[in-house]
Amino acid sequence: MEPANLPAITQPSGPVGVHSDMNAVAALEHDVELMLRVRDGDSTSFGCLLERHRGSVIQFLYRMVQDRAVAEELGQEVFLRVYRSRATYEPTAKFTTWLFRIATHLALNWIRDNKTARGQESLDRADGPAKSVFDRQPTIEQQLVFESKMQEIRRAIGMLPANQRAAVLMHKYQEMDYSQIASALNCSESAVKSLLFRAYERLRSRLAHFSGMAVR
Amino acid sequence: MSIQCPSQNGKEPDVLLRYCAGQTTAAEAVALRVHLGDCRACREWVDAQQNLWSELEACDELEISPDFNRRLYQRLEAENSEPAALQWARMFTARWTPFSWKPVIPVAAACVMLIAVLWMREPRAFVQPDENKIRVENVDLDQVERTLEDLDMLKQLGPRVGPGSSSSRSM
Repeated sequence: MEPANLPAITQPSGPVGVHSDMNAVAALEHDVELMLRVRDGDSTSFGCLLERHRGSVIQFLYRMVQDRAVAEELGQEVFLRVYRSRATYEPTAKFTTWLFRIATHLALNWIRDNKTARGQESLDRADGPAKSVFDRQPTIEQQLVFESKMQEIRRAIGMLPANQRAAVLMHKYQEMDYSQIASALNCSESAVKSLLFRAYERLRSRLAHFSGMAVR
Repeated sequence: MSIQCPSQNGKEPDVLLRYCAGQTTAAEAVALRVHLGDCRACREWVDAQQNLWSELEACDELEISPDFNRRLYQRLEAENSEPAALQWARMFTARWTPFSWKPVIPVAAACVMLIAVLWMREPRAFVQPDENKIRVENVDLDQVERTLEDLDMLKQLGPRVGPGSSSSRSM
């Protein structure tokens, strides 16, 4: 397997959508097709899948564990497991659902195993380079305000119970619907609804001071 | 299409959340927009949720290490060069990704404790006593009692009627 030989595939700007538009459906079918090719021994297809989903998986893991190094390590483990499972892969579910199921379980296990050691440390530290949202060079004041806001948002997300956090991250950033989240979290759709409502309610109350957000 | 007010029907406003996430059908979205024009509670809920989403939207993203792929491929190469048995073992564990062995320990400990408690609380089985044995034991006791009584009687009578007593000597 040689990464240099992989075909150049542009990283999608957003997550792979699950709505009913044709492009998204085509993308989902394409993922399954690629995975079936990986099963048949085509390692180039694995490279394509890696390029397509690496970004979304690592961002998800980063927001879950809030640690850059751990997110990358877990990201590697996710794709290793995908590759190891190639021989037994059956396209019974959407590829992204399966992928995020693996990622979610790894993240939840890590959070459970490191609950006591972790504490609040990782939430407070600046954790590696993050992409800036400024179009032009920000002033120091803007940068500080932005950093403080980001830290508060990260903290609010980090304070959610792990299951609620995973549900919100998959719903908000991966645009997954209830059934996909339920499948990834191995619970019912009504449980997902409940997780999401409680999580959003907490987030709304914790971040209410931003732009005078009204709390229900 | 008309909808029942999601804030008033006693349930969680699921449809409002789906509306904010853009996951409602076109008909639902139109009906909700009409409803939001009239209902202040729902409008406030949607505004708060949309504000929250825009705040979360601004959340920073991690820049992935440039050598991420290289490290991954190195690990894959290393795994591929491992013995076949180890590869099969890995494949087996990969199939069971969602399963973690850690909870097994407390569950097993709880089971052991439960079994121990049940065993301790379980009433002992009633053993029918052997009637012959009881009778024999009863006879023995009676004999002992009778023997003791006889001895007492003999003690009381002994000085008067026994051989060598003063009364017998006097006769």
